[in-house]
Amino acid sequence: MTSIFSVRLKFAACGLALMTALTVVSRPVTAQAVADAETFFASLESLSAAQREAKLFEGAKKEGSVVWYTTDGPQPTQQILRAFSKKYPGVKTEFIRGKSREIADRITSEARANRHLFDLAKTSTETYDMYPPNVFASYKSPTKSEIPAAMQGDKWASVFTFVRVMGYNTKLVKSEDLPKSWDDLLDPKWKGKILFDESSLPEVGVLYARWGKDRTAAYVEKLGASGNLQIRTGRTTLSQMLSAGEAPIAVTVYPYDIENLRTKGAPVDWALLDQNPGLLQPTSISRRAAHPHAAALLFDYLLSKEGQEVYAAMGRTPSNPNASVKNEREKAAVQDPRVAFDEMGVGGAPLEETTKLLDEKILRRSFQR
Amino acid sequence: MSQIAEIATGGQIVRRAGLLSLSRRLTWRHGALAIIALVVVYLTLVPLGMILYGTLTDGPPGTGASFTLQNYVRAYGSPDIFRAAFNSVSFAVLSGIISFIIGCYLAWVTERTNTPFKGVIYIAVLVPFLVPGILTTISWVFLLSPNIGLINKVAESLFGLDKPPFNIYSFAGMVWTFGIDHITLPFLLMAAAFRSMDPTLEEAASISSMGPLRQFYQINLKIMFPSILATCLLLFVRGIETFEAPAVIGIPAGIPVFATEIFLALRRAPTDYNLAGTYSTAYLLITVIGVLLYLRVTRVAEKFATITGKAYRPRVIDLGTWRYGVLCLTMLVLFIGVFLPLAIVLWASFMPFYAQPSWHMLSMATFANYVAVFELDEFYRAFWNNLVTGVSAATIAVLLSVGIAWIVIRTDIPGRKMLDIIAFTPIALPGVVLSLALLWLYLTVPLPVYGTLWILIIAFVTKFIPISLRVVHASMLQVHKELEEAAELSSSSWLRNLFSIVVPLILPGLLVGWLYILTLTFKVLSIPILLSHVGTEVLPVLIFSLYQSGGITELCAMGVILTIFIAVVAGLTRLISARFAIKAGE
Repeated sequence: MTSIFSVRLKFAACGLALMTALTVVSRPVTAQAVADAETFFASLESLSAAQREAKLFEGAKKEGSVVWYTTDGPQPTQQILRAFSKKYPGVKTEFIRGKSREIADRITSEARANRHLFDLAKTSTETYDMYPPNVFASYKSPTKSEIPAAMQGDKWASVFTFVRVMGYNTKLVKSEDLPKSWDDLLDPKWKGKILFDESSLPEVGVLYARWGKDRTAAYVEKLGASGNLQIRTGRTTLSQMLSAGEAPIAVTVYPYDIENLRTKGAPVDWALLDQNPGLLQPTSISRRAAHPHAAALLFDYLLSKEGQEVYAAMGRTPSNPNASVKNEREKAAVQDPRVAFDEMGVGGAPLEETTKLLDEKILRRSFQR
Repeated sequence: MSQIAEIATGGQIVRRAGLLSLSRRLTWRHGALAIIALVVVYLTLVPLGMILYGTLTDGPPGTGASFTLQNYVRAYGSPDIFRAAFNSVSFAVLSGIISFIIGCYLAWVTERTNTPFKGVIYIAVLVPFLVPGILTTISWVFLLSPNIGLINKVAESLFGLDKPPFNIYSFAGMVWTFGIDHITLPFLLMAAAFRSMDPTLEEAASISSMGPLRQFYQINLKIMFPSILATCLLLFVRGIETFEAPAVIGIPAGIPVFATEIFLALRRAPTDYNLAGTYSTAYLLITVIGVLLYLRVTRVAEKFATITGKAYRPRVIDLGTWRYGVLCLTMLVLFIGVFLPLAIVLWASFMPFYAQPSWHMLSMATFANYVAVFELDEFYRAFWNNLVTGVSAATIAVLLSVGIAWIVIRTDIPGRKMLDIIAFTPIALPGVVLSLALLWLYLTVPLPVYGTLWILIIAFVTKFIPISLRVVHASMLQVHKELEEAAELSSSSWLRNLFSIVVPLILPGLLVGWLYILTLTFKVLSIPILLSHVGTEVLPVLIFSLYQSGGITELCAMGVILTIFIAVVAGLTRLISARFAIKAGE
């Protein structure tokens, strides 16, 4: 009998341990004094560009490594970091990748627990506003000042830009028959022929910013009811499906994907609608960076003409106007008035309303068919 | 084996003596069991407690959130969620039936008949185990889409149809895609069960001139009941939590399931942890009911014990010339279910972009995708990390499961059923919720776990113990306790008995559980995407990033590489399990 009691005792002890663990976990974390990278960055401002680079490289070698949280794909990350390591040998580059939501979850959780593990983070315009205010450092640098004002803020700069456009299958639709505007997408001749990604929040956002609430709501309602959309999840799969001939049109896709497929010989191309969202790729340095020299060195490299040309070689549209560009068409699109950057993301259309429009008028509608 | 037979001859005396020694060793044995129980309870109850606590608050732990019931209103306040839940249940049941019937049939063919090419069949069935779920789902789209589906195109031109005969974007398409992709689990579990079948019972049935169908029902079905039930339970839970088929096929088809609703509610950043946890309470409820039913049905353990002191080997049915018919049917099933989707993946892996097979496209074939995969530094590191975490997690989970199953089946310790239920609940926790809870726990607790492979191992063990537990439990039910009691009499230690008698006897089952967990660590994304850190990434993260950044053809190349890997592992496993299978008199 005693042993049974002892087992019960152990269960009880276990429950107690659990409760203790819970209390520990739910105890509010108090901020702890960690060196503020901002002070260090401010101290760099008096140096010349060359002095600055030399100082950063020297310090970075002592720090040994730099940790980057990024939303970019495996190959682009590897390519840009290899180029960085070639220029600055002795600084180990480490990274983790995830969707912008996962990067946000991770950074906010780590910040709450007072664990400062990342030096640099590439986030997204959609999530940028959700980060706690003190996570990122104010940062100025000579290379950062080469970037147009619209593509940077006090604590971030966009390392490249994406535009989202209409893609089409050149075997299934002739370019002269293409819809020119969002209103054209309502034409009954496109019934079931438009691939549409469920995460098209920036699309609704740009309409909202340019058209206002009422017109957007009425339009989204009509689009959802038209039966023209084939809802999909995964925007790059959308491009692949488009090239395979699943549907003649996809709204919207990345020109970068389409260009990649096109150069390999796939029957796809892209065109602008009357409104197209442009997406910045905000990148920031951690205010509590454990490797501030290396972080600043990498940040400056990403924005420098040299780093930007590595991105350009991959077909990305660089933010630095001094960098030469491979993807001329997308660069032209970035400057096209039909593309909206400023109304988007960082302080743009009210997220709650656009989310509701997209979810209820388009997604839910497709579930009720 | 002869040692067991020898020991078991004691009969009645053994049983009484066994009880005697049982009371003698009660204390230290309980100590060992208590440690196992404590570990499992810690692993599962802490995150579970955090999640349940979170459902009642309006912010993440550590932010001074206040109590609220609002999460429940948000999660369950709309009729949409119930319709989605209904879809989920019918989806899981129907696809589970497909998986079970096909898997069970294939297990019967390889274990109990003299059909030729068993080794080929065995390896072919294991292939879907490691191919990323997103890839198989997409390959079925490439086969059965009304616009670009290869099967549809071929059928249209062969039979002069003016409409495609199949539409993947339908409920049936979803059920089929998921069902056919999950034949491996029932195959392995049922194969293990068939292997442990006492043929004397079948012989007795034959002598009493019982018809083959009635014999199957009265003998095979009844004895294998725990295994069947465990398989169905695992398939069902997997079905209601899966997201690949509902996302790639269900969303275009306009059929939301419960997992779709969770995805839609949670896709905004940062993750609404409280709402996510609240959704998982529905999964919790379903799995607790499932496991209670399972425990109730299997509560009289001796009913299922076929592994006794008697020497036997499972009987192989001579099908005569019928075996070629069975072989044809089997090959047809494998051709449609495994070969076709794999062939599409293989085709795409050599393509610069996906296009339907044609002579023109064949001239564009390239190794570029394979080169791209092998050029990724991350691939090697992720593969190695995956192997290390997967093997460790699978081994730990299986060992802990042996302890728990033994407690549940062999002891009458109060609360043992509760232990089983507690250990089984993590299967109900969506990966994102579990990993957020663990992320916060190990960010706060001063243990050097966060950022290492340990946090992944902990998460995998927690999430997958339910699987090995069901598998081990079902296998252990088949081992009669007289074997252990006999060994007790020869006064060898309990731990030694466990590892020299019970474990070898249930090894086929253990291997299944072990292999399944190992392969799941290669497939499950939601856990490592939040918990792997710099230098500790695993393959699913890489697979998903490739998928996300448009590399479907590269993904296909990786799928082919993984398939070759699993085929090798499967071959080895088959060798090992054949070596340890119960083959008395050899």
